[in-house]
This record gives sequence, C-alpha cells and structure tokens, in this order.
Amino acid sequence: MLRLSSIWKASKIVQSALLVAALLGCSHIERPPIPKVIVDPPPPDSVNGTYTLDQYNTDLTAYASATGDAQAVLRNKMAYGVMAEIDYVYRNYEVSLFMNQSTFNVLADTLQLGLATATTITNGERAKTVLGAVLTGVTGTTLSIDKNFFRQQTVQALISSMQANRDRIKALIIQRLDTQDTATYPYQAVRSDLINYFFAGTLPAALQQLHQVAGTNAETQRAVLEQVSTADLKNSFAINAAIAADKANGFPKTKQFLTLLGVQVDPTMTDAQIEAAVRSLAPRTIDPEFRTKYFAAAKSAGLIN
Amino acid sequence: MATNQQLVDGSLSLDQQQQSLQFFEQVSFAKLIDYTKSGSNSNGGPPANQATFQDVPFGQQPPPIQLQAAKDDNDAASIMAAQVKAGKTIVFHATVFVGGKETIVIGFR
Repeated sequence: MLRLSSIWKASKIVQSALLVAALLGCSHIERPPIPKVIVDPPPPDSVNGTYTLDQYNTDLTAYASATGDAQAVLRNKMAYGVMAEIDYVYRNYEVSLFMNQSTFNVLADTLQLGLATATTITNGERAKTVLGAVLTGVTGTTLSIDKNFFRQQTVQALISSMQANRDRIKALIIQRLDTQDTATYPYQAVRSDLINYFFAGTLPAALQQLHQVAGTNAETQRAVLEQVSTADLKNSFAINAAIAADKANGFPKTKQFLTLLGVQVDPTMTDAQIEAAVRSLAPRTIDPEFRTKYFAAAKSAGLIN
Repeated sequence: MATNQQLVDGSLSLDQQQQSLQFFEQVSFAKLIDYTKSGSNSNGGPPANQATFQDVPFGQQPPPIQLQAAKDDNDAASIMAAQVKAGKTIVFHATVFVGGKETIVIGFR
C-alpha cells in the first residue's frame, strides 16, 4: 500500500509536470481542445456562429434606422454576441491565470500588473474583433496596488472575485434586456454595461472588490461570528428547508416573511425574484438585531415554530 | 450560479468558524467553495479569513461544510484521504487563521 506521504509527493510532481507542460506551450493540458464549432476565431474559411466584427457593424448600422421590436431584436443580438465574446476571452484568461500562478506571484512586485496582464492576454488578439471595436476608446484605470495585500491573494480568490463581479453585471444586463425597451435601455447603454462586464473580469477589478470587502464590515462580521449560537444555527437550517418547501406552493409563507422584514413583494414577482429577495437578506443577518427580527418574521410567517 | 464573499473573524476557534460558515450557507442558500486568509488585517485589525460562497438552487442545499485542522501537510493528506474514503468531498485545503494563528484547515462535506 502506498504511504500517504508518497501520494502527496506524487501529486506535487504531477502538478509540477502540468505546469512545465503548460509553459512549454502544451495548451491542451489545462483544458481539452476547443471544439471547432465554438472556437473563436473560427477555423479558416469556416463559420461557426462566432459574432464577427463585420456582423456587428452590419447590425449596428441596421439598429440606427430600426424601430420598435426590430430595434430591440438587433440590440439584444449585439448584446448577446458581444457578451459571448467577452465570456470566451475571460475563460481563456482564467485558465492562463490558473496555470501560470508561479509567474503571477513573481509579477506581484509590478504595479499595474493586473491591467497589463489582462491587456496582453485578451486585447492583443482582439484588436480586429468585435470586442476590440466595443472597447475602442476605453482605457483601463490605474490601481494603486498594495503589494503585500496582492501577494496574499491566491489566484483562486482573485478568480472568484472576478466571477462574482461578472455574474452581478451579467445578471443586470440580461434583466434589462428582458424587461426594458430600446427607449429606456438603448444599445449605447448596453455597450456601457458590456464594457463594465469586460473589465469586471480583470485583476484590478478583482483586487478592488477584495479591498472593498476586506476594508468594510469587519466589525459586523466579527460580531456575527461571536453571536451565531447553536439555536441560531438550528433556526437557519429550519428556515432554509421551510422556504425550499414553500416554493412548491408558490412561496406564500415566504412572501409574508419578506413583507414582515420590509421587503416589497409584488404579486407578479417570479420565483427567481423571490429567491433573489430571500438571498439579499443574508448579509443583513450579520447584524444581531436584524437576525432577531429575521427569526421572528420566520415564526410569524409560519416558516418555523 | 452567483458567488459572494464574506469575511470571517480569524480569532475564533475552529468550531465557532464552522458554525458561522454553516449559518451563512443556510441563510444565503449557498455553499462554501473556498476559504482563504484575508489581507484585511493589514490595517492592524484582527486576523480574518475570506469565505467564498456559491449560490445553490432552492431545495438543493448540500450537506453543511465541516472543518478539520491538520498539524502539517502529511497530516492534511491523511485527513483528506480518510474523508474521501468516507465518501466526503474535499471543498478546500488551505492555511487560514484559527484562534488568531495560521493553521492548516481542510473543509469537506
């Protein structure tokens, strides 16, 4: 039987081998080969659904003269096309960050690292693509980076931060595309949001969010940790299960729970909106006073005894 | 699914941190996916850890996160092997603050 220490050492050897292979340009080690139907840009003389710069320019021209539903269709088409491009470059960037962590750490001594690295990895190949067109005229911001703080952030934490930023903005864009017409959410506004979406997936944005999270709420978070009693934990399990079960009936008790906590509940709210409202209460439970109200409201609404 | 982050007081004991993380998983309908040291104490405040949570669909809450400390890397490997053998999933393996001191901790469920 292999000793566990041997297994551990073997895993380290494998990790090192993977890194060496990646550095030698064996790009298929960290991910499988990208299928031709989604690779961007597409293979020569092929079409695979990639949103090209020519298509974008055609749609943008048509958008200017379109009206009503036709204009909305074009707006949405451009939005989702560009979003797909941004997602593609971000995923490649994420893989690159993960596989080059040692290089990442060495470069931690350089200010403006994040933006420089992001630009090199993403914009260098994108100058003539729709992404380049969307980002034309936009310059990244310089972030003063605390080197010590930067060193302490693992690539994983930074990737999580970037993904959180991106998810938030993407959800907002999709919601606006679904609910607002071109008068209230014209493509110019979409483009602005798409630019924010792109830069949300860069190291400066990740660092900025981590700085903000780290620099605020430390007092309240410390209070939470001291005051999460066994009873509170038990109640949290019960409320989670009760709300999940309430979903099958259309969330009647949950809506009452939200109303008791001051959340405006509209009869037309979808399940997704109810769930989002429930989740939004979580950070507020950090405050012991609000947590007491949270449990009281759950009891009044019949979610717990 | 969306992710969000929460600071956790690194001066608490391991059991206290586990309890708080489990609490936040339940109220936010999410699961812990990463736990690392935070640099928030650079301004002289108490040591803190950063928890990253990922939303889970309502009604699909996974088993609560459990934490176990390890003496060293060999001990960590042993703990992880035992938990995997018991059918658990390793969520993270990192050095975080516990009781104010850097400690190797494994998170599993």
